[in-house]
Amino acid sequence: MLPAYREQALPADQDARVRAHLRDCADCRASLAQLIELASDLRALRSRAPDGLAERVIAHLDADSASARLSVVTTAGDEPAPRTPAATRAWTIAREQLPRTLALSFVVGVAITLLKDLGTLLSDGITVQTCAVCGANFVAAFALLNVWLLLARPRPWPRRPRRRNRLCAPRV
Amino acid sequence: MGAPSASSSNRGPIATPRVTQDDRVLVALARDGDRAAFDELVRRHADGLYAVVVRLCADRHEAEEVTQEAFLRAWRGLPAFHGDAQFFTWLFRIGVNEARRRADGMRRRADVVVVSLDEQREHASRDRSVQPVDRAERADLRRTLDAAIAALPVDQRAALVLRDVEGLSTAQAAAVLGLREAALKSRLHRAREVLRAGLADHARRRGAS
Repeated sequence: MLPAYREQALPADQDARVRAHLRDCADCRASLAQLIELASDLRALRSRAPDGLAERVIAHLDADSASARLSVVTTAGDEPAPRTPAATRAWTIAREQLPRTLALSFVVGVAITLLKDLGTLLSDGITVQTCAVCGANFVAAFALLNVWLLLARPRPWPRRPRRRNRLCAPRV
Repeated sequence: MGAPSASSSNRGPIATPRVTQDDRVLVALARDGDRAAFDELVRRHADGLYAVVVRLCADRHEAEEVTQEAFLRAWRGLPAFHGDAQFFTWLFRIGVNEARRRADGMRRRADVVVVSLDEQREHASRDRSVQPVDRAERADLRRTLDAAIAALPVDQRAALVLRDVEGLSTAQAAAVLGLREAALKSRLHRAREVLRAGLADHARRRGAS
C-alpha cells in the first residue's frame, strides 16, 4: 500500500489511515523513505537519446518510402493479395494450439470409440473396422475443436513461464 | 519528446503526458498521408521511445534500430490506429514488442554490462550543490541500480522502466505492455523488491568498507 500512498493513488479514507499508521510505525516510515529515495534514484537514471535521432528516423522513413515507390514501379501486379487480418488470426490460433488440439482429439476419439464399441472390442479385439471408427472419431473431434477455437477465440492456455531473460544492458 | 515530464515532488502523481490534443491532430493528418505531420510526431516521441527501448536492447545501436523500426511500423500501421489509445502508448507498445522480439531471437548473454557511466557523470555534474564525495556515492549507487535493472527479467524491467524511470502513469504503462493495471502493479512490486534488496546489499557493502 505504501507505493500507492507515495503516488497519492489511494482513496481519501485509506490515505488518512496510512498517514495515521505512519505516525506510529517507524518501520513503515523507513520503508516509505526507501521508496521515495528509490523513486528519485530511478528517475535520475533516465537515458539520454543520441543527438539527431529524430532526424535519422525521418531519413529512414524517407528511404523506406523511396524504396516502396521503386518496388511499386518494378513489381506492380506481381504482389500476392494480402491475407486478411481475420484469416491471419484464425491461422495463428489454429497453428499455436495444434499440439493441444491433436492430443485432445486423440483422447476424445479413443474415448468415444471405447464407449460405443467396448463390447465389440472385448469380443473381437482390435480390428480394422474399430481402427477406422476410432480414426473417424478423431478427425471429427479435431475438426470440431478447431471450429470452436476459431469461433469462440478463447483466452490462450497458460504457457509455461519463460526463462529469466538476462539481457545485457546497453553498452556505453 | 512525448514521454511524461518529471514530477518535482517526492510524493505525488509521477507522470503527466506532455502531448495529447496536438498529437491527435497530427495523427489525423498523418493518417491522411501527411508525412510532415508524422515527422513532427517523430520529433516529439523519438527520444522518449529510445529511452525506453535502450533498457531492453543489447546495445545503443540496436536501440536506435528498434526506434527506427517502431516508427516505420507506426507509419505503415496508422490506418489501423483509430485513436482508442494515446499515440505515444501505441508507439511505445510497438517499440517494446520489437525490442522483445529481437531479445527472443538473440542468444541470451549471461554477462551483465554496467551501463551509462557517461550519463551518471552528467547527472552528477549537473547537481553542483552536491559535494564530490556525495557525487561519487550517488554514481556508485546508480551503477548498482543500473546493474540491478539490467539483471531483471525483461517483463519486470519493461514495467519498471516505463513506470519508474520514464514516469508513465500506471494506466499508460499498462497500456504499453498490454496488461491490466493489477498485473502491471504486481510486476512493478516484484521489480522494486529486487532493487530494494540490491540497494540494501549496496548499503551493507559500503558500511563494511
